[in-house]
Amino acid sequence: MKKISFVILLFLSFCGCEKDDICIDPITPNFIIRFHDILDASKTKKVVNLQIKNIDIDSIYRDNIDTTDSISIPLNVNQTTTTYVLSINSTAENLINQDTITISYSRETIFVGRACGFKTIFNDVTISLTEDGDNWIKNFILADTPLNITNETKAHVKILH
Amino acid sequence: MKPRLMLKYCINLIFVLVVSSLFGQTNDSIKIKHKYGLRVGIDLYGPFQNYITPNKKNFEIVADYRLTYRLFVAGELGKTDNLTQLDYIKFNTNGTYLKAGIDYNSYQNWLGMDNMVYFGGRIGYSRFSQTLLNYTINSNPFFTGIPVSTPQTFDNLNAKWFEIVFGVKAETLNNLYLGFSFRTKFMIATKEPPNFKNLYIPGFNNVFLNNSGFGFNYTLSYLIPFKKK
Repeated sequence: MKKISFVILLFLSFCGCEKDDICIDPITPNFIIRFHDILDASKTKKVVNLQIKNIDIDSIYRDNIDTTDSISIPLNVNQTTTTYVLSINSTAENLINQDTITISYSRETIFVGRACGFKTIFNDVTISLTEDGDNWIKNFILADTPLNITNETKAHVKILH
Repeated sequence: MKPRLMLKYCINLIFVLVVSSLFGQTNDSIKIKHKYGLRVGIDLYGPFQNYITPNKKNFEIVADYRLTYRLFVAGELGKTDNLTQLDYIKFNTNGTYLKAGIDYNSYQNWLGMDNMVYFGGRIGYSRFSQTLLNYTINSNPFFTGIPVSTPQTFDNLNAKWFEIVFGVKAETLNNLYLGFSFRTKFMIATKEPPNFKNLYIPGFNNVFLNNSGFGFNYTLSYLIPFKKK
């Protein structure tokens, strides 16, 4: 009986040692953009030397991304719009082309867990382009209508260029 | 409680056990009589924890009643006001709890002694409220998160759970007992607040991911003897 009691005591003393205060669940999703060819929307088309700059907080998110066909950018959870300037050929002064996109959305707060706290998901997302007469971005195709950004499993919008 | 402190308490208690066992040896009567009665006491670990961290308040009354030499009915009644500060959330839990069950004494006492090394089970029930004091949305650190600090209170929450108890009680003075117990808890059912979770429940303590919990108490109790047999 004493041995059994001792085993139970040991078991009980280690039961409390579970560690679950490290956040491993998905938190607020980023906005995922995929670049496609304006001539054939089914094909991806890479952009060269991309710079991603946020206007609201006047800060560069990513600079001089060599070539890529997709980007993942955060949306501002403190506001209902986020504005980015996407510049292609950002290293060449005579080739640089800056386009401004504004993403508008409504926010929903979702509880995740002890370690992660709360996250935001974005509903009724719309995206608009500021016309400047020389836009490299030609069109947008949203993945869903209405577009809700709840996870990062697939691209949320195609940018045709 | 820090493991080192806990160890110190355990060692103290074992010392008390040994000392009291020495005193017990003077009894030579052949006919062994055991004390039967109601034993009531308080938990000293709650006030101690409150002294270390003022935002954690827990008051608990414990009681047991002897049915046979080995079997006791036992219970705890408590009140909790507990603040939890996590990385992204801060909330306060306020409520009461009641636990009832049995203890089984696995210790064969020497003559005239009345100590216990026991294990047992409890069914626990708690009624409580959660107040979410503030939180910061967990998002990409590119945008600095602004804390949302409008308190939200969720009332009329409850929880039911099962506990496995392992503990020791030692009679240190006549009819006065010191004891400690470890408890592992398993949730049966709980009423969760909307878009939030009961991460702390009075009597259950922290609710871990797999809906289990852990508890400890250190009790001082007094036996009101009804009869000897």
